[in-house]
Amino acid sequence: MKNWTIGKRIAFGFGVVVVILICLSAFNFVKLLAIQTRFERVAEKSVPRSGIIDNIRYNTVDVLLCTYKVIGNTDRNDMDVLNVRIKANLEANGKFIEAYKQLSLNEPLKMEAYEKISEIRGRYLKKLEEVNAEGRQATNAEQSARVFLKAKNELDPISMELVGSLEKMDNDETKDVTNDSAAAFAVIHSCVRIVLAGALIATLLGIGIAFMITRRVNHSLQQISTSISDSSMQVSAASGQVASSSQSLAEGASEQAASIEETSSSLEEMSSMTRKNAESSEKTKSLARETSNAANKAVGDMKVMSDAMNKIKVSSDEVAKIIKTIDEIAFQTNILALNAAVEAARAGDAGMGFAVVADEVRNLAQRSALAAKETAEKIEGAISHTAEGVELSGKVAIALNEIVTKAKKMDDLAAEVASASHEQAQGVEQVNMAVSQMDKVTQSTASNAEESAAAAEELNAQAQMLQDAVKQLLEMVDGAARNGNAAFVSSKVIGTAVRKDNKSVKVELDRVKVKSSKVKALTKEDKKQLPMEADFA
Amino acid sequence: MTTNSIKEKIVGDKTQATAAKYLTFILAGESYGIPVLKVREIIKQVPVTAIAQLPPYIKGVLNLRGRIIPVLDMRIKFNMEVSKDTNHTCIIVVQVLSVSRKTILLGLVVDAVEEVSSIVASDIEDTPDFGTTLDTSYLVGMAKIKGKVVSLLNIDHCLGAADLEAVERTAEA
Repeated sequence: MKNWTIGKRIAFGFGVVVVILICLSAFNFVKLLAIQTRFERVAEKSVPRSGIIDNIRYNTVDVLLCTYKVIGNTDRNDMDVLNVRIKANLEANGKFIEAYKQLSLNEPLKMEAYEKISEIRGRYLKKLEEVNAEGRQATNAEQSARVFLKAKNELDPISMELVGSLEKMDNDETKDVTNDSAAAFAVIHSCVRIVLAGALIATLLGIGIAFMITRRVNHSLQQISTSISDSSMQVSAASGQVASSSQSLAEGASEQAASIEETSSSLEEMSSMTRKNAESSEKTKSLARETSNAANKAVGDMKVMSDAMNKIKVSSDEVAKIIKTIDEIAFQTNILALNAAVEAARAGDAGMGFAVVADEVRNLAQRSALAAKETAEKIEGAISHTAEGVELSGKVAIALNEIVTKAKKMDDLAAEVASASHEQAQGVEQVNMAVSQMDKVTQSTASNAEESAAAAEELNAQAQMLQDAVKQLLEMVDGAARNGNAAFVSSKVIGTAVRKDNKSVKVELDRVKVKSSKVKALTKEDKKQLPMEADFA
Repeated sequence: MTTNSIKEKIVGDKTQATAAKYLTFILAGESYGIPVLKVREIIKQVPVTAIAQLPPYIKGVLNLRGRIIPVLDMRIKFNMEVSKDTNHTCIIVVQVLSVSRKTILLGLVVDAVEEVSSIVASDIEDTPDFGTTLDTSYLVGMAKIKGKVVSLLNIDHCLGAADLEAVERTAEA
């Protein structure tokens, strides 16, 4: 029963009451029907029958009376009048008996009584006829007395029997009526009792169930309203948080826009640098080419010079050989002179003149040797200079070759730098795109922040509405808005904070927009400045 | 240049140098001088026929106009640094008096021959006694020629007796 819905509970409560009502009604209906039956019987059968019987009895008695009067009477007119009266009464009784029969068609006991009374009446009528006939015939007192005696002895019993039967029948009817009335009263009494009890039970049940339902519903309502109130307070708080976070988001977006602006300007610098690099590398390439050409030309010249020097060397070598020969000759001459001097010395005085000659020859030889030596030295010097020159030219050739190699390397490097510059330009382009995307994202972030700020405000408003609803609910529950107030107040406070946050969000958003437009301008500039494919042809 | 020659026959084995004409030659960078009268001839470096089982300072023999003369390497003999033969290397053919007073011709390999110069007595000094590689009996004096110090050798005493005998035998062989 705990989990029934309010509809079910109310349905149950009302259902119980309705069921009791229906039961009572059905019961009443049945009882009333019983009473009705009884009453019907009494009213439409017993009482009429009783009436009929009374009438019949009265008529019978009257007939009897008349019959006796007839008997006792000799006057014909009176007797006719009485006979008429008797006939009328008998007719009436016949009708009454028929009526009784009609009333008793469905009641076997009554039909039995009817048959019996009919039978008795039949006898009675016969006897009456007899008596009447004799009576009519009686013209004197004696006849009349005889008839009277017959009547007394034969008609009276039957009349008495008839009356007796009628009395019995009347008593029966009275008993019936009494029974029926008693039964009806009993029914009524029991009905009243039961109806009262039922009504009481129904009332109590109704009250009890209503009370329970009310209590349960109130309890649930209170719980719900409390939880709604709490939730709405939390929603208010959350909306305040959302507002403040959207404000910080807006601030962040604003900062981001500033950084993007910085990045954009840095990119602009970078792209101009790249352009300069590309140009410089172009220049370097052409310089390298020129250098290479000059170096190659120089190498050719060096080769020529080398050949010339080699020729000089060859000539010098030949001259050296000749000088060597001269030197040898000088040397030999010197030795010869020395030998001559020795012989001259050994010859003593005789050799003095020879010694002088020898001396002179020696001098000459020495001069030759000296000259040869000097020449040799000069040649040596020339050769060494030539060798130096050759070596130097070799070195120069190597150096020039190195220059050529280096120039080629420079050329290659310049080409690399050019392609790197190109890639760099592409990279800068991509970064530009990324930056403008970032800018878009920043803008959308800022607008999202604005939206979420508006949503926070909306949320807070809804929370306040919720608080109102809760207040109404609580009023419905216990007629006093106790709990609603606190939540209401806090919602209002939060609402104010939310609005303040939203204002600052708007400010940030404007800043972001300004920066974003600057970034767009810069990105366009970069596009112009970046070196393109054609620049690297 | 005036030749101021004072002739005097050098007889005997006196260690005192006398004023005379000397032939100066270079041996391991130092100048030495021998009396010109001892010198027979100066010839250029010629191939020397090596002889087996001789002392190391005897390089071999040489055919000089039909005569076989032993050739000595003075540098080895004097325990000097032996340097390579240059085109100034000469062989001085000297006359040496052997123990048996016979005249032997020797060839001396020297680094270079300088000149024949007259040395006056005033230029000659006595041998200072300080460590040289030469046994000072060979050294008869020191002379100053043109600022240079020349060691004057007594070639007769350059070789010892045994050496001379060996040389003699070689000469006669």
